[in-house]
Amino acid sequence: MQNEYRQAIEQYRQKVVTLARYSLRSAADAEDIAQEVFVKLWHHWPSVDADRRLAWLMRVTHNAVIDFTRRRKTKLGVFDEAAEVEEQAGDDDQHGAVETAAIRGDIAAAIRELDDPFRSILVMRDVQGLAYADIEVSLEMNASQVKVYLHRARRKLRQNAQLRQRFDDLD
Amino acid sequence: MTTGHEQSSCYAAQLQIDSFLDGELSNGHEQGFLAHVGGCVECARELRYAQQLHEAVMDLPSVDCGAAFDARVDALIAGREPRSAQGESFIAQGRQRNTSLLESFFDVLRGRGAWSATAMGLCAVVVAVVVTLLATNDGRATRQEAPQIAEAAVERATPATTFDAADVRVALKELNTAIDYLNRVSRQTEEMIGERFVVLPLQQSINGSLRRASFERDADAQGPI
Repeated sequence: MQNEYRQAIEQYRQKVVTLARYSLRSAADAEDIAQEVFVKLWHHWPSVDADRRLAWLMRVTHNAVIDFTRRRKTKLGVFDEAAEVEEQAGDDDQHGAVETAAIRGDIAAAIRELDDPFRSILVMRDVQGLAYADIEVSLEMNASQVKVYLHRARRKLRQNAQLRQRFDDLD
Repeated sequence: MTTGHEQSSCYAAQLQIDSFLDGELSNGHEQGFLAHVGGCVECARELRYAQQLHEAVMDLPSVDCGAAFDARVDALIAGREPRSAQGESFIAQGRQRNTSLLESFFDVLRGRGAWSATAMGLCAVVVAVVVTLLATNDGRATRQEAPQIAEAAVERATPATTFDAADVRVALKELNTAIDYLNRVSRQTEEMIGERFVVLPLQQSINGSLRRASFERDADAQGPI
C-alpha cells in the first residue's frame, strides 16, 4: 500500500503543488498545503478510488487553499516571487509564445488576483490541462458550469489592465 | 461613430472568443464570428490579444518541489495508519440506519388511507428531524471512544473540512428520499381533496343541470297547460 501511495505522490505531486502555487503568494505556503493534502490522502487512502484520485486531490487542494487564505487572511495580491516561476520557465521558453519571463510573472500575479472558483478552474484547465471531467468531479460542478466559469475567468484575466499593457507593449 | 447594432455585434463576438479559442463554436456561428472579426478592427485586436494571452497561460510552467518533499510527507505519515473503512463510514452507517427507519415508517404509511397518510406524513418530518439529531449525538459519543475517529472529529472542526463531499452527498440523498415520499403523500392528498371537493361537486352540479334541462325540455314538448 505504501508503495502505491508513494507512486501516487510522485504522479500527482506536480499537479497539487502547481494548483497551490498559482493560488498563493508564497512557495513555502504552497508546499505546506501540498504536504497537508498528501497526508490527508494517506488518511483517506482506503476510501479514495484510484481512478478518482486526481480529482480528489484537486478538490482537497482547492479547499485547503481556501481554508488557508481564510485562516491567514492572506491577500491574494501581487506576485512578488515570480522569479521562481521564471526560473522553472527558463528552459522551455522556446516552446511557448511568451517572450519574457517577466510576462509569466505578470500572468501569475493576475491569476492570483482572480477569485475562486475562477482561479482554480483556470489553473486546472489552462495551466495544467486537466480534463473537464476531472474538474467537474473536483469542484462538484457540471460541464456547463465549468465552461461558464472558465470563460468568465479568461475574460477577467483579459480585463487586467497591467497585463493588457504588457501585451500592448510587445506589439 | 459606431451604431447600437455594431456595438451589440461586437459584444456578441467578444462573448464568443473563448468558445472560438476552444474550437467549440458550431460551423454557422464560427463563420458569423469570423466574418464579424474580419470587418471589425476592435474585435480583431481583442481576438489577437485573447489568443496571445491564452497561449501564454497554457505555456505557464508547472511547479514541482522535488524529492525532499516526498521525504517530508513520509515523515509526517510515519507510524500512522490510514483510517479504516469502518471508521470512515461510521456516520454514513448511522445515516443509513436512519434512512432504513424512515423507509419502514413510510411503508406503514402507504398501507393507510389518504387522510391518515397526510397526518402521518407531517409527523414524519418531525420524526426525521428528531432521529437525525439523535443519530448525530450518537455518532459523537462513539467517536470519542475511538482515537482514530476522534482525530477525524478534530479535523472536521476546521471550517472547510467540517463536511466533506461524501457527507453532503449522503445528506442530499436522504433529503431527496424524504422529499420523494412527501411528494407522494402530497399527490395522494391532492387527488383525494380534488375528488371530494372539486370532482364530486362538479359532477353533482352537471347532473343537476342535465336533470333540469331534461325537465324543461319535457315541459316544452308538452306545451302550455
